[in-house]
This record gives sequence, structure tokens and C-alpha cells, in this order.
Amino acid sequence: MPCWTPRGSCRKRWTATCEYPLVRAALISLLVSALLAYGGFYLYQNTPLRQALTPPDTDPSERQEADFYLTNARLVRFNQQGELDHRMHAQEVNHYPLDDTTIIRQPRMVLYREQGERHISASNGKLLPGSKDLELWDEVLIVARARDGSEQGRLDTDFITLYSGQELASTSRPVIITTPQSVTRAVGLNAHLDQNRVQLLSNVRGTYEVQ
Amino acid sequence: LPEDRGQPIRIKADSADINEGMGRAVYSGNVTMDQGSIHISGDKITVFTTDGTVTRMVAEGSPAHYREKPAADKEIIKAYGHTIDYAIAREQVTLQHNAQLLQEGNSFSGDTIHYNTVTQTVSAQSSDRADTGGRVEMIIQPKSKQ
Repeated sequence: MPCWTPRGSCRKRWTATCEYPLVRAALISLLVSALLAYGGFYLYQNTPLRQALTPPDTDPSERQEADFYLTNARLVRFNQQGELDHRMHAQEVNHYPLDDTTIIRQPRMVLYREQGERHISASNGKLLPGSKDLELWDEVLIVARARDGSEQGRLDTDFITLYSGQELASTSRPVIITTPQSVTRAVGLNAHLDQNRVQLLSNVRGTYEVQ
Repeated sequence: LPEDRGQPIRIKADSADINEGMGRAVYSGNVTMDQGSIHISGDKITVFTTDGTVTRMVAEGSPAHYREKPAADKEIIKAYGHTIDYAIAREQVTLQHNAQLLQEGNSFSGDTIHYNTVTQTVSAQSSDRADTGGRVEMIIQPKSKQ
């Protein structure tokens, strides 16, 4: 293997090592193993592996972990008059203290209102800080039922936010509203759940069937 | 066309405010409504429903437009007015404020025009308001000229 000899002042030292290839090989392998050792130590320090192995020495709220979780959760809530306000069922509920949010898998809700029930479902949900407002996404469906149980209308979208204090559901995403006689598509919506009223924000296309 | 009444009603608009509880939907911004050969357009169209069935539509514009082909062998009827009130059940269109209707070459204008979509009869009224001073004007084309 040709011996690489740089020119310049360090000529003599490099020349000495080149005469003994074994020494040079040893030096190179020493250098490589040092690099490998340092690389390994660096990786070990910064991979989740270390965090998992070492005992938690910090407060849970400092870490991204849930402080409580529920599986197959059923929740019933009553209003101040003692009347049934809503029921919720969820496959899994995780509360994260770091940002006080609660992630919900497969939320199913029924709101009990004067005009009738509102059945709300989605693949995912997130209770925002303060546990008042709820974001729902993926296959979001809201079905309005009259007091006799007949379906008055349904709303399909892929993301919506429910503001419980204002009985308002709001999204900037495309929506489809289906009633027994009409289908309406739009982009963006504000639904006032307590008034059976919907504001469609843009790109409205409606079709009414005539009996 | 006679079969227009059985056709679906299709509406396009920039925005809408639908109140199922009150049976009213207000569509705003470049609104068009089509039902078979009937076409209405305006800045705003309010759709009234009873038990989900559309019973009446009111278009407003400057002016609002109404267009319909009354029969296969007839020309398209065109009408204009600041307000166009289409009462579906009564099959009557009422045009108000600077109303005008063009039918088979004839022209009718006045403050209010009533048009029956089945009998295709037209009646026009002037307003008794001094500011408009509008009188009814009809231009009937002689048969030979048609």
C-alpha cells in the first residue's frame, strides 16, 4: 500500500511511522475505536433508551407522560338543575399535566337538549386546557335527533371544535350537512347547537329535493 | 316547463345562514338558484321551508333576475326586479320595485308584476307612492311582427 507522506515540516515524524506499517495500522485502529466509543457514548446519552432505563428523577408534570388514564371510559354529566346534560363513552382517555390536555380515542357523546339529542362521534378528540372546549378530528359526525328520535339532520367533517360554554361547534374545514330533504356542502361552519342554526362560511352548494 | 316543479332545487352562494328550527335559510353573495328551466339569481335568496319542504323563495338584488322556459315551443321568459318572490305552492312569481318582464317579444314594466307560472298570465301594477310615479307600461308586439 503506498505510503502517503505529506510535504512540509512534519516530514520526519510521518516518515518514521511509515517505515513500520504495523505501528501505523495500530495507530489508525486506535483512532477509529476511540471515535466509535465516543459516538456510542454520545448516542447513548441522547436516545430515549437512556430516559427509559434511568429512574424518573423529575416530576411527572415535567415530562410528556400522562398522569392518569382511563380505558373503556363512561362519563355522565348533569347540569345545575340536576338534569342529564351529556353522556360520553371513549375507548381510551389520557390526561397530560404538562399542557393540561386530555387525548380521547373514539369519543362518543350524546348531548341532551330541549330540541332533542345531539349524537357526536369521531376517531379522536382532545379536551383543551381547562377541560371546557373539545377538538374532534377524523370521521367527525354530528347527528341531530328530534324529541321523537327521528333524525333531523347530520353534519360530516374531518375536524371541529366544540365550545361547550357557548353551545357552539366551529370549523374552517369542508362540511356536508344532510337533512331528509336536502344536502348542503360548504367550507367553514359555525353550528349553534342550542338553536338548530348553522352558518356556512364559504363555497355553499345546496340541493333541495322536492316532494 | 311543467316538469320544473318536480326537479331538485340547486343553490350556490358565498355563504349561508340556515335555521332549521325557523324553517328559513338565507343564502348570500352571488346566489343562483336552479330548478329545471327556472333560474333565479341575486345578491341574497331566502328559502322558506315547512317540515323540510321548500314552499317559497325570495330573491333580492339590484336587480334580481328570473328566467324560465314556460313550454318546449315557447321562448324563455326573462324578468327583473329588486325583489322576486317565488311562491312555489301557488305557482306565482311576484316582481317588485322596478319590475320588468319580457314574454314572447312583449314587455311589461311597473312597480309590481305578478306572473303565474302555469297559466303564464301577467298582471302589472303601479305603485301609489309619489316618489316612483311609475305607471304600468306594456309593449305588445303585433302578431305580424312576431
